[in-house]
Amino acid sequence: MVNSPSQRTVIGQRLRRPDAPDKVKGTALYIEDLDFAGSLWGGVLRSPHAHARIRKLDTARARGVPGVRAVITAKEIPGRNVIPMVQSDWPVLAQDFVRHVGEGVAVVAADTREALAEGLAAVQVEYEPLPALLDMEEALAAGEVMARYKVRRGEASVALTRSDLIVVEGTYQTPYQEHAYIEPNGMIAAPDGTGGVVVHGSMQCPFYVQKGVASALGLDLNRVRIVQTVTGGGFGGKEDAPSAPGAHAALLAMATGRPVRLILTREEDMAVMSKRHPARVQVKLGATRHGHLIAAEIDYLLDGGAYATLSPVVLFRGTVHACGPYRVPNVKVESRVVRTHKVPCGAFRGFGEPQVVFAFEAALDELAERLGQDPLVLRLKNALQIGDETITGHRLSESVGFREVLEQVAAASDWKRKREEYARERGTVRRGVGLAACYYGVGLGAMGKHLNPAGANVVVAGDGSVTVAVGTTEIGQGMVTVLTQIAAESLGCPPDAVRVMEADTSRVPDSGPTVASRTTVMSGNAIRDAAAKIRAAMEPVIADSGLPWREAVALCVQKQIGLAAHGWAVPPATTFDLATGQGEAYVCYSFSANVVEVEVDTETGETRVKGVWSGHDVGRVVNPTLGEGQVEGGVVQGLGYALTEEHALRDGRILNDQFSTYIIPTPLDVPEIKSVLVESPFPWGPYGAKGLGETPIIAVAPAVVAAIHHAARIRLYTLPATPERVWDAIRALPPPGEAASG
Amino acid sequence: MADVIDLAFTVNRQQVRLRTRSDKRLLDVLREDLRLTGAKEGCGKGECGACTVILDGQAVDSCLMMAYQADGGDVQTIEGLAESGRLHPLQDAFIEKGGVQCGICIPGMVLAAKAMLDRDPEPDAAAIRAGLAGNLCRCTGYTKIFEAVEEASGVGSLKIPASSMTPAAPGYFRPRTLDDALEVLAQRSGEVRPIAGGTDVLVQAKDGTARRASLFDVSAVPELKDIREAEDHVWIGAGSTHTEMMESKALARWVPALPQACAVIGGPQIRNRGTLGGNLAHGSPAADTVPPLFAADAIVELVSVNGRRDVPIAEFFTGVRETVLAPDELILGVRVPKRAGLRAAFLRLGQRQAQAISKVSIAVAMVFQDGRPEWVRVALGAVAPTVIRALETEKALMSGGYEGLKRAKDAVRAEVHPIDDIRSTQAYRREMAAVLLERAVRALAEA
Ligand SMILES: Cc1cc2nc3c(=O)[nH]c(=O)nc-3n(C[C@H](O)[C@H](O)[C@H](O)COP(=O)(O)OP(=O)(O)OC[C@H]3O[C@@H](n4cnc5c(N)ncnc54)[C@H](O)[C@@H]3O)c2cc1C
Ligand code: FES
Ligand code: FES
Repeated sequence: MVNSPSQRTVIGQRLRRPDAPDKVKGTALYIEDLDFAGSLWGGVLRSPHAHARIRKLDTARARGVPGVRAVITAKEIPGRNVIPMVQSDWPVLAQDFVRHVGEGVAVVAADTREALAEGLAAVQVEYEPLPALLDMEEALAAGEVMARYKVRRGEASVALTRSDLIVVEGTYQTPYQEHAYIEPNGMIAAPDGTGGVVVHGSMQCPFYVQKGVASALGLDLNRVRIVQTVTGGGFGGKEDAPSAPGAHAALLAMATGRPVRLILTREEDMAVMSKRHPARVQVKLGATRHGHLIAAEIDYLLDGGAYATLSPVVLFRGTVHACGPYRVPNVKVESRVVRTHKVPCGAFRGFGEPQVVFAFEAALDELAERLGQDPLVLRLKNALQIGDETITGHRLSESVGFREVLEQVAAASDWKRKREEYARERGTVRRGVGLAACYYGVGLGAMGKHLNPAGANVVVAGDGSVTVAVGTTEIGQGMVTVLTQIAAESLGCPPDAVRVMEADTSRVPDSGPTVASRTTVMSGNAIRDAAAKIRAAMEPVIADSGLPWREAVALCVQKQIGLAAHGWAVPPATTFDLATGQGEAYVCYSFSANVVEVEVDTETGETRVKGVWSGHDVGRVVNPTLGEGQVEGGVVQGLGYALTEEHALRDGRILNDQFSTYIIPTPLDVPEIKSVLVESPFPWGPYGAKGLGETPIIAVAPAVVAAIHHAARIRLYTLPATPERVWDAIRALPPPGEAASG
Repeated sequence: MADVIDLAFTVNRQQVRLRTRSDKRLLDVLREDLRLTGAKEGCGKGECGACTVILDGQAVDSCLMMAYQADGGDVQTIEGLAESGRLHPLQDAFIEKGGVQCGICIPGMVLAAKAMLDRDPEPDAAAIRAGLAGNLCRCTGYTKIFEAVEEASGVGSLKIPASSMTPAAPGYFRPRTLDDALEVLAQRSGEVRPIAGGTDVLVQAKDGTARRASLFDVSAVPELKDIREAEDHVWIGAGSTHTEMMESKALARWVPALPQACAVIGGPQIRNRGTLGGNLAHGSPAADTVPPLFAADAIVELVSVNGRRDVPIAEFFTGVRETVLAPDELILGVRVPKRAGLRAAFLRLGQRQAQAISKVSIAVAMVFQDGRPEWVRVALGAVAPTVIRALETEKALMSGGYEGLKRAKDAVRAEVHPIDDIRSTQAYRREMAAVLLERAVRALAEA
């Protein structure tokens, strides 16, 4: 039957992923699996210094190495030596100076891996090391500020002096986080034979790579075609960063006239690709004795690394979400991202929120203790509801399911009983439960307006099969499945008739990045726009014929009806004033809360997470299996952030650049995870959906740290909560008043 | 430059013969020579499991094996799992339960699950986690992967495939007798290094501190393979894998701390390949088989063309990654005296529950007579340049009782010399030595 778009059949179903069979069979082709005839091996010579002047850069010997086909330095770049991002400060290859360890200085292409290694080793570079700024506070003192934002609402400083307020204050530190996708970055570039280039690769944002490559080669965008290969994880790490290897491979391909494969090793990827920004957050938070939040002052500092890439946008998101999903009438947020001589940080799931949310939620937990209130009660009391304003003065008129989320995770986790019961534990190993929450503006919001629209091309073939091309990407999150469901639903065809193509810049107009949980909403709406046009063309022919889809299509073909359309989605306008930080920062928000249960070994400081109840208001659940998968994956990344993940650096060099030293959770480290999905539809979203990619990671670490406090009575202000830190904090506790424990 | 060698093995039930460069890993031959690209390279160091294949019925990391080590063997890759176009029940369950996201970890994950189910068709939840502990997934949080494996359980085939292929690799790369192996070492002493499980030396090769082209395989030497009980001792061949030691009844009885240690090493793939000899020869102060051997007064037997010699385990290590092993010598195995009434425990702390290197480890062995300690050994790992025996701590424990334990904790704090490094801190390691000591001693006293 051709379903009318109002009769829902596919939305909300656990449709099997169309991309899964190839992945379980091992036939899905990732970048490393592609074989281009005659391809060369490409590699990058990288700076060993955090900051140095390049005194001499001589490639003559390298060029003479047998098998070496090209050596390119900044001098040989035909276009601009810049990868355009928010600010145009990021060079394709270092020119005169290197500004972080691992910065590319030269690229080499060769016939074999051995010749490549020899060629790279034969490039002669003389560096004059210069003093390096490695500490974000020092960079701030030196005035190295890349971007700053603020929020001004009411009179926070004045309010915080009120004598009737309970005020808590703290300084919080969060570490680097590595995306740790299991597939390292890689690109294969090949000349297209007409003066242009085709670049295949692992990526999230083909249109970013396209701009980077076009800029480096000095080509028009229509000469640069980017094709996304099956991508082995991204999480933000393949958003801005792949533009560099993309440009490197393309430069070598154009110089040699041959395909060039440039695949990073794990160690290289960890050392030089982007990461979550380390942060320092100062929070001062005041509430009445009854627990009404009155004022907050937040100073948020991010370490951006050597180049701005996406740092300003990351900072913006953190800034406007600094006080979480709560009513706070008086707010002052001061935020800055500083330039240091370290690897540039960029996008990572949560995008500037996990750091500041950790700090704010930890302060809130402390405030609850000071007030003698249950942390759940305190949050419910201040939870944003329809009609309330966010700290940027955005009045929420729809789709706010936060209270329900809080209530449901509390019920599912048996919060109240555990809170009381575990507080009485006295043994060596003690249990605890903690709670934290967040909200997340969907889409790019006020800072990324020009990138916000998205397109889709939908073509119905004569046999009724449907090809959908969009500009956003499948990176494992399930876009292909969700968009298949939306296409099927909006066309009224069976889902197995739909094929969503891999992203290719030649198929659709620039549709912005695959980030910010915007894919379902933006590409979904673009598909609905195109589908509506096709349905409108079909309607007069099939009217109420009741024909099955394929026959209906055949009839339209017979009547020479064009069954292809371009769809375009532009989100509702928002207004925002950067001078005051007031306005509609995003069109709409997803809400989330987690309860985490832990066991803390008070002798070893080890924390075992026993359970996570993760609640999300996602507007509408398009596919519960995918929704739960996003939650489970995000939660586990959040647990890593909370407990084990961090980088150690010496002189700006990352010391732990492999999976045996950068510690992510294994199957033995994960607890039971229960997803609680709440639906409070977002009218502009496709079928009410808001997107769910990022919220799951954001409010995990503060819930873990709150649970550790509940179990062991210690407050941690620094992530991750390693056994060493927990043990140090326990040792620093005043001796218990009562008889010695365990 | 690497030589060219001939190889013969069974891949997905097909007999394969090929000629290739001798310095290729199994992963390279599968991906490049055979174009079986389902096995992925996520790290090249045995950490992620994305390159997992099944070799002779066991899950192995194909990035940590030389191709000639699979010569004559039976290899199953993901491409061979679906039979005549029909998905294997595991593959189907991964799709149905939503265990697949980006998919890069999935071929390895499915094969690790298959190897587990083939040996244990009805694993409980804990066994499923343990069976997948050598595979990282960054997308799914594992939950739906566990569900998929549970769904597919019951489909195992206890039959371990055996290849009918006659090995083709030249004996120089893969000697089949001890004499041949010693001959290779004697002829080219200093130029060549043995590879056994490859789980240390191929990590070094990737870091540039070892050369793949200089390796030769000792894992086919039968004299290194045995675990044998003699009248007054247990003999453990250097080629015994962690999995074999973990499952050995003789070891569980006579050196119980050793199988306990083997059970927490790495993940299944590492335990299936990594050997005792490699763990000793690598000389890491964090090597987990070593404290149990210290606590058992083990003797290391070394052999070269010039004969054999015995070295007490406490004299084997001379510094971080330094041992008394001469370039032309092999470790033949370890002799552990039997001791009636022995109880022993191994405990360690790592940065996570699997695929972790010890931050501090301890083995305690005791014999009790009428409830009082009669014989005590305490050895600690990762708290000094080599594994150490804590003699003062032992003395304190001999005095027995709570007082003895308290004094032993003080003694152990003084006897360890830990450092700050990327895994932990000096102060923490020192105190944890005392905490683990107490836990081990209490466990033995109550046993
Ligand atoms: C992901 C991962 C996790 C790990 N986890 C742990 C852990 O938890 N605990 C732990 O202790 N170790 C761990 N290891 C280290 C490693 O697995 C062990 O040390 C293993 O026992 C080494 O044995 P092998 O046979 O693989 O050694 P190989 O790598 O084959 O060899 C190591 C060294 O020993 C030499 N050698 C091997 N056999 C002999 C012999 N018979 N005579 C003389 N020399 C010989 C080699 O020449 C080489 O120098 C881990 C390694 C990895 C990659
Ligand atoms: S590639 Fe990671 S274990 Fe082999
Ligand atoms: S599905 Fe992406 S790493 Fe497992």
